[in-house]
Amino acid sequence: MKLLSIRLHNVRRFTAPVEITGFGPGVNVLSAPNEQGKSTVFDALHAVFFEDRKSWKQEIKSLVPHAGGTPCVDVEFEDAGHVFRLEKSWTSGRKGSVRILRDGQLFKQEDDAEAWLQERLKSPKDGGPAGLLWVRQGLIDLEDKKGDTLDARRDLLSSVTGEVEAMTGGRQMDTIRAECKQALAQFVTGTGRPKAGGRLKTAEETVEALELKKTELSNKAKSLRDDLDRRNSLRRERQDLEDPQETAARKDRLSKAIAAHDGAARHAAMLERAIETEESARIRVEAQQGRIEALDAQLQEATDAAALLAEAEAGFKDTTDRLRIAAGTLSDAKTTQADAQQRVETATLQHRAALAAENAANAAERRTELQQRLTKAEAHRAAAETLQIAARKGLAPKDLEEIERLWMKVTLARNVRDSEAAAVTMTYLDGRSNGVRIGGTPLPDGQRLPLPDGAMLDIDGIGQLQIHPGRSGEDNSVETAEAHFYEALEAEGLGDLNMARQSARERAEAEANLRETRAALNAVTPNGIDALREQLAAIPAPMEAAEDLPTVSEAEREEVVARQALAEANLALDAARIAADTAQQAETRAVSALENARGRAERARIALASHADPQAEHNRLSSELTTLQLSLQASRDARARLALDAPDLEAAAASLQRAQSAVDAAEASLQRIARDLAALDARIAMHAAEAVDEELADVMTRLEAAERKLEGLRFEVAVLQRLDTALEEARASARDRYVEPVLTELAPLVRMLWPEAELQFDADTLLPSGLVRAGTEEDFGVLSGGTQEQIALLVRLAFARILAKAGNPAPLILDDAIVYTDDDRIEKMFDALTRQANDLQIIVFSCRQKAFRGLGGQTLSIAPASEATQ
Amino acid sequence: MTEFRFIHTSDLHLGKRFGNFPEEVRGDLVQARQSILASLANAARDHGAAHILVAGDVFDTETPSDRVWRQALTAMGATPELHWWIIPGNHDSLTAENLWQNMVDHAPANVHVLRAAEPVEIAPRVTLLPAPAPRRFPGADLTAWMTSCATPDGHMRIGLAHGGVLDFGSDDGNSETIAPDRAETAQLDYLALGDWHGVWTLNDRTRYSGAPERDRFKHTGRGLCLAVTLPAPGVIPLVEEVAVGRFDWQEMELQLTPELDPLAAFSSLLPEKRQTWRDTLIKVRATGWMHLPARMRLAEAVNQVAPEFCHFEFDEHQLQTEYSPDDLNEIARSGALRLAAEQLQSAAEDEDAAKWDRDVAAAALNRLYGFVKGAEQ
Repeated sequence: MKLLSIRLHNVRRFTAPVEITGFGPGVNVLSAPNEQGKSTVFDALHAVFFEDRKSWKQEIKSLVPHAGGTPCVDVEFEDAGHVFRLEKSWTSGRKGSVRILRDGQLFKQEDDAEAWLQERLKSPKDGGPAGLLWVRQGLIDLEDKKGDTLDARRDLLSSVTGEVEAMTGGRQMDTIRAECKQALAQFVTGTGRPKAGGRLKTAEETVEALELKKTELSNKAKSLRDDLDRRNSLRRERQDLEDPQETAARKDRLSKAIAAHDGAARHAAMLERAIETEESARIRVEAQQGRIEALDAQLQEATDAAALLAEAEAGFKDTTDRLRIAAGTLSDAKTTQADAQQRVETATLQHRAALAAENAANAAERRTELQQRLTKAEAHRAAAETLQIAARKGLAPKDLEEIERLWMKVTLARNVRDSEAAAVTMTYLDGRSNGVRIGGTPLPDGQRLPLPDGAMLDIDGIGQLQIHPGRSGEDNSVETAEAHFYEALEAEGLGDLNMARQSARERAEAEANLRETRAALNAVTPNGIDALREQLAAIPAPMEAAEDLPTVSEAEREEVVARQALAEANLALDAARIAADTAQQAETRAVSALENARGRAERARIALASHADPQAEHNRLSSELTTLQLSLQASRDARARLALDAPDLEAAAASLQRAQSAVDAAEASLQRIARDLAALDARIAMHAAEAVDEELADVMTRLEAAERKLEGLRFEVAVLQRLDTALEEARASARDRYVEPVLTELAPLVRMLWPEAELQFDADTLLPSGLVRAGTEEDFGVLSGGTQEQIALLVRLAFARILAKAGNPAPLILDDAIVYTDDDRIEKMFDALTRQANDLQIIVFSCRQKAFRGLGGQTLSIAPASEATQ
Repeated sequence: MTEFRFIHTSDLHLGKRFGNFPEEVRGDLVQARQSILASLANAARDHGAAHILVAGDVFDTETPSDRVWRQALTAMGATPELHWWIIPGNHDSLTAENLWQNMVDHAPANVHVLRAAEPVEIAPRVTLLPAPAPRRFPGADLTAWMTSCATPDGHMRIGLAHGGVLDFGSDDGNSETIAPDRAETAQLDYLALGDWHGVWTLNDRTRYSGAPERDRFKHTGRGLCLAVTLPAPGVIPLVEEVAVGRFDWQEMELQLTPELDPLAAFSSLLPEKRQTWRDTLIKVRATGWMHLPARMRLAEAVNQVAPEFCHFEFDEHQLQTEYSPDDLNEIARSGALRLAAEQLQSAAEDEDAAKWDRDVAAAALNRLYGFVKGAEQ
């Protein structure tokens, strides 16, 4: 679609008809100061295309002039090879009108016209291009920050092409995904876990709770059934126990057992008595036998005691003799041992004295040797001290070396002076020797005599010859060297060089002697004189030698012999003591035996003393024993007869016990059963009242239903998750297809403003999210207003271009859309506009007349409508 | 000789809680179960009978709550002119001593709990031979004793027992069996049996009354009892089925093909009288194949009518969806939605995938279709 002209009548300030004509392809610029009606034209254009003729909302009412009137807007545009004229007016009461002429002929009117327009130019609400291609002042945001960002995206997205809309699913896709996610959110969290309080979680918890309840009730039901079985068992047991025949049989068995036991007990008592009678008779017989045996024993004891006493008396005498002999032997042994002991002590003392004397002799030798070494050492040390003093007095080698060096300098200075000084050589004529003198001393003959200081020569017979030294007399280097030389000698206390040399030799000799002396001293006392003295002091003082001492070896031999004698004496003494002790013990035993024998004999005598005639007594007792033995045999016969036919009392008691036990056990069992039954009855009654089976049956059916429901809910969740995944994957695939052409179209535009820059698109909103420059991504929101404005416009240009390529070109209308852009950047924007305008119609409304002058393109103006259009 | 009329019923299962049903349905079913005693009394009065023979399983468990058995006694005591003759069945066997002792201790005069297998003259010249179940699985034919049980000449002999017969599985699947010719061998004029929840006629003199109030879809329809008339000893009894249950249980199969109009097929299954829907429990098992849009319409139709029933189960596990290109076009002709739909369809038809994954994918595709249609509205 391409606009050709617009005519306004009764639209705000334009109460009189005005028109804008001359719209051409490419860029069209309507540049005028503020308050000239540019926005009015924009609003009128928007209204004529997108506001229904019946509309009377604020946007339409705002078009009515202050003075009133019916807003009328006529637009001519070209589309699909035809020229259309759209005439629309709005009145209160929703009675506006619209008609469309195509190539001068009436094409559509009223509702048909509106429908055609709506189809042709979808409104922004329907995803039409207005949001993209109609850009108001300051509307630079691509995202509607206050509203639904998705709508903003839709404006862009759906503006491009219906194919993109279909490709990504459009709002329908969003709606379905939202519904799917909403439905899913009722069941699970974002991570896929059952949502707390949600139906799935509740169903899971219900199943879990019912399973627990089922287990609990099953256990209770089993317990109840077990109790019922147990109760039945107990009742049968009680029934058996209470059976009359059984009860009577138990009682009969008990009665018979009691009777049998009583009879056996009576027989046993009789037998017991017979046994007691027999026992009494036996005791009497045994007592009589005892008395006879006692009398026999007394008689035998008297005989034995007399024999024993005689033997004891003999034994006592023998032991007394042996004791006396042993005492004598012991006394001798003690004397011998004491002598041997004395000899050992004496020998030991002699041995020790011999050893002491030997040690004293060794110490004296050592002292003498040390004393000699000390004397030598002290002599060496005194010599060394003297030598050391002598060495210190002498000239040190380095000092001598210094004096020699200074003397060399003197000699050298003298030689130099003499070689440079005036000199005379006197050659005497014969007979005139010593005729010339210097300082009173004759000049030697033929010898060159330098005269560095000049001289006065006395020439005999002639006079005096004055020799002037010339310049050489001024040289004092000899004196200086000599001064240094003699200062050095004087410092050492020496008169000349020879003395110095002699002093140095003496020192060297003293030092050599000193070393020899010290070596000798060291040889005598390696550890020093003090150590030597200490050694000497450590040797004990000499002892006075004893006389008549044996040698050590002699003393040792004597001590060994004495000790051997002592050992032998000790052995003999021990043997004597043992023998004495043995004899003493034997004597003691003999005394004791003698006393015992005497006592025994006395007791035997006393025992027999009560019998006047022991043998007669013995005969009487024997006769009575015979009578008692006959009585015992009679008792034995009677007891044997009773024992022969005695009933088994233990068996009878066992029978009685068993019969009684059976009766008692039956009674106890009945009592136990009664208690158990009471407890079971109570428990069963309690469980029965709880309606356990009924509850269990209910829980099982509810569990079954709950499990089915849970299974259904899990299936439902799986279905929704599957659908969500499928939608997401499809959307992602479509998104890739969508973004690519937009980026392709946008890239050259972006580079016109920012070489090397690249726009980033948000994966969800499909809107530019940032600008990457020099490798750094800047979020769209933090870019400057100018940059945001430029990007927004470039994106729209890109979409408009895609729209045009899709065969649905639409004019891009900008109402002061570039307000933040500086002069430099606006030139580039103009380039971008011009570039895109090749196959687009771009209409720019601007108050920046000066700035937009450089945009070029077709210049528009608002002018009173011509007669032809009125 | 006057004829003898009585009501034969069994398997009341009082106290059954129906935990597998939603709460509101459960309440209705429990209430109906408690009300069945009054309905039986009405049936007896209508039939001119003074006796109601209950062939076991009055209670659902051996330990019903006090509320259950006390209210049952109260309900039975409310019709003192009617005599209730009750034997324990396998669900409430004599093992439940406390229950039956309580019943005996608190029973009104017209309620007779028969705990022993011994003849009872319940009316002049009418002897009842009861076979109470001693335990859940008695392990023997409890009616065997009836064969050797002598009754006075001229007495009508009625057997009352609970359990299955030969070649006739019990509802509980146990193997306890009653000789099918017991009525003949024991010279019974009528053998009233319980355990099978549906009405079953074994022979002229042996019948199962079925449960008076149904409790599962296995036995469809309303619960019945049998109004029995014994004209005279040895004469074939006259038996009439009397509907006493409140709720109508219906299970049906909805067989579908892509060509079939699913709504019409579905509507044809529903009871004609809409006013009966409130007391009807329906389980529809959908089978076969259908297109996605049709399936959505069917689901909507089910959702529309389901709340009008006491309970409505729509089992579509065996219903497969056949996807046509048009079905996918209705989701989207191109773009991301189309891509998602095709991916799900491919997954749903992937024979190599696990059945669960195929089912999930198919359901996800159905859901996508539903979302699209919902979004369009």
